[in-house]
Amino acid sequence: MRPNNYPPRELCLWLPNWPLQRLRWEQPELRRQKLVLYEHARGGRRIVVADDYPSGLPIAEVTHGRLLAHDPLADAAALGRIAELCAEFAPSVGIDTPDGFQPDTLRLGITGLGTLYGSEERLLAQLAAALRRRRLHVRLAIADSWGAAWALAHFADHSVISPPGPGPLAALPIEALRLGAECEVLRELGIFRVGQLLALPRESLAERFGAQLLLRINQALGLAPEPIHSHRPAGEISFTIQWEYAVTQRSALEPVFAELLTQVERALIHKQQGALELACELCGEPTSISFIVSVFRPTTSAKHLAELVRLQLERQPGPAAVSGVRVTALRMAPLPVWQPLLFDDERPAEGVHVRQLINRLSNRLGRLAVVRALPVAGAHPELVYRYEPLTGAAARKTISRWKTLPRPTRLAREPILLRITALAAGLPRQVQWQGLHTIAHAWGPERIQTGWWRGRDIQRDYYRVATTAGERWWIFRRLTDGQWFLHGWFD
Amino acid sequence: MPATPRQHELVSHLREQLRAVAPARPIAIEAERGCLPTAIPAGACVEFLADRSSGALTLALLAAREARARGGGALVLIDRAGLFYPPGIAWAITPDTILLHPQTARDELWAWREALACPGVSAVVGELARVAPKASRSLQLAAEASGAVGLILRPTTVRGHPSWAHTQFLVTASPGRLRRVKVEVTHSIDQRTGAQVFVEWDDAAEQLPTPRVVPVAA
Repeated sequence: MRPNNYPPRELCLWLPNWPLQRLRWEQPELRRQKLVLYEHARGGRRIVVADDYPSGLPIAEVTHGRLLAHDPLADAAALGRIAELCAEFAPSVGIDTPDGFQPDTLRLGITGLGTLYGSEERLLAQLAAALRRRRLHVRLAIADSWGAAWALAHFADHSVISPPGPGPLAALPIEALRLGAECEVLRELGIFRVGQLLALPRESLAERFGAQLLLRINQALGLAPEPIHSHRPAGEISFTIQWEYAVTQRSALEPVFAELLTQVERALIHKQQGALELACELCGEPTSISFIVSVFRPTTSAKHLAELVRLQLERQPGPAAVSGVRVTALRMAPLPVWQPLLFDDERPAEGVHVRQLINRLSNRLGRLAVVRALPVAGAHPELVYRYEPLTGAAARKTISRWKTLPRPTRLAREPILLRITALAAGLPRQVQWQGLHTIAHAWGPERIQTGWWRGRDIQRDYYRVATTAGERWWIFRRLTDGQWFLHGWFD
Repeated sequence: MPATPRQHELVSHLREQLRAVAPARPIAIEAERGCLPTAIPAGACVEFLADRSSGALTLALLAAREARARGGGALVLIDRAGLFYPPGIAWAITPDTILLHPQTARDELWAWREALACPGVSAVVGELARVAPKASRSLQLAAEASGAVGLILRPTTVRGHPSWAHTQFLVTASPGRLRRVKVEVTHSIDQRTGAQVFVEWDDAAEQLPTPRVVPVAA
C-alpha cells in the first residue's frame, strides 16, 4: 500500500505553561520555586504567566514568587530544539504559530506511521516516554485533522487517540476550535460546546459570524486543508574575528562588522535563508557585551545589516577595549521569493523602503518600541489590545477584530481619581481635576465587568461626558465604592 | 515685536516670488475630504495647535487616512507619551500601520525625521510639543524629500513661535451635544491665513467618525 492511500493522521504535542516549563527544563534549580514571568507594558511591568497569579496582573500586586523577565525568543528557540528531538518520530514536524500567542505546540504529520510502530498507541507511548525522560510535561492527541488534534490536546482531560469523525470533538468547549472574538458572541447566544455549533446549519454560520468560524469548523473536520510547515534546524551561522591586542576606538569596529556581515551574507545565501535576528558580541576587557539586531523580514543584505549594527553601536556603552567581535545568526527564515519582472522598476520598492525603515527604527528605538496594535477578545479596557513588535518574528495574520464601540482616542496610563464637587441625578455636575470643570452632557452608562481570570476583576459604569469647555472625557464610576475616575479623552 | 505694514508687504511679495519659482507639488490631502480649510500638498509638514481633547487627533487621523487613500503608503503613528488608545483609533489603523513609542525627546525627533524621509510612508501623525526651528526645518526637508505628509499635534501655547511647517491650523472645540470643531489656518507658506471650517461628527454614535464639513467665509 502506498503512503498516499493511508488516511491522514496528525499528532499534536502541547507543552502547557511553556514559558515556565522551559525555564525549569533549562534551569533545574528553578523546579522547586514559584515563578512569576513579567513583561514591560504600558504603565509598568505586568505578568505574562505565573504559577500563582493570573496573566495581566501588575507586578505591584505580586506578594510571593521569583520574578523573572519573560523571554519569548528563548521559548521559541527551546521549542525548536524539542521539534528537532521529535524529528526522530515523524518525518515532518512543525511548530504551530497561533495568531497573537506565543507558540507552545508542535505538529507531527504521522500519516501511515502507525503500522511502522505497530500501532498509533505504541507511537504515542514511545514519544510520551521520550519526553518524560527529559522531564517535559506534555499533552498529546492524535486525530485525522490538525484542527481536531489541536482541540483534543488542549481541551481533553488526558492524551487521546481519536477515531475518525467529529464525535470526540462534540463535548469540547467552542474555544477548542481556535476561535477569537467569535467565542464571546457564541456564548452570549448559549452555544458553549462544539457539538451545539456543529448542529447549526453550516450555510448561515459564515453570514452570521464571519468566514473564520466556518474555516475553523472545516479545518477541525478535515474538510479544509491546513498544510504543515516543517521545522528544519538550519545549523548555526557564526563568525568571529579576534585580535592579539585590544582595540579602544569604536570607529575601528565598523569595518570589522562589515567584514563579518559579508561572511554571514555568503553563508545565508548558501543556505537560501535570510536573517531575522543576529547576536553581536563585543568581547572586551574587563567585560563583554552583546546586543541583538532584528529585522522585519528575513534579509541577507550585509550592507543593510551593517547599517543596523551601526545604529546599535552608537547606543551601546560597551567595553573600553575590545579584543574580538562575534556575529551569530540567531533566527533565520526562508527568503521571500517573487516572480522575476520584466522591468526592475515594476518591483514594489515602496514595501522595501518601509521594511528598511522598520529595521532602522527597531534597532535604534528598541524592538518593543516599534509595534503594531492588535485586538484582543475581552471587555477589560486596558486589556483589549496588545502590541506586537514588528521585527524578530515572522509576520502573522490576526484573527480577532476591533470592536465597534465608542472608545476614547487616548487612554490614561492609570485611571485618574476625580474629585466631584457637585452631583446631579447621580452623575457628576462639577469635577475638580486640573481646574474646575462643569459637565454639560453625559451619555451612558456602559457597564464593564470582568472576572478575576482576566487580571484584576473590574466593575465599572462608564460614561462619555462633554464639558462646557468642549472637552470630551471617558469617565467611570467604580461600583465597589462609588468613586469616579477619568480614564480617557476623545481627542 | 509686531511686524510693521511694510514688513508684511515685503513678506507677501517674497511669498509671491517663492510661489512662482517653487515646483508645484501634487495634492496629498484634498481640503473637503481631509476636513481641512485648505488642501495640503505632498511633502508638507502640518501643525495642529490644539488644547487637550479638542478633536485634533481625530482630525489629523482623518487627514492621514485621506493622504493614504490618495497616495498609498504606510501610516506611522509616533506616541512618546504612550496614550494613544488603539481601540479608539482602530478606524485609522490598517495592518501596515506602524506605531512608535520612543523613550526620549531625541529619539522622538530622530523617529520623526526617519519616518518622514521614507518614500514608502504616506503620513506621519504624532505629538511634538517642543521642536527647535532648526529641527522643524529638518522635518520639513525630510517630508519634501519623500513626499510624505507630517501631521504634528502641538499645544496652543506654541502659537506664534517660529515654525517651518507648511501650514499651521488652530483647532478649537465648541461645547454642545454634537462634536463641533473649528479649524482655522493661522500660518501657511502659500495660502492666505484666516480660512476656516467647522467640522462636525458624532463621536458617541459609532467608532468610525463620519465628519461633516461646514465651510465658513474667511
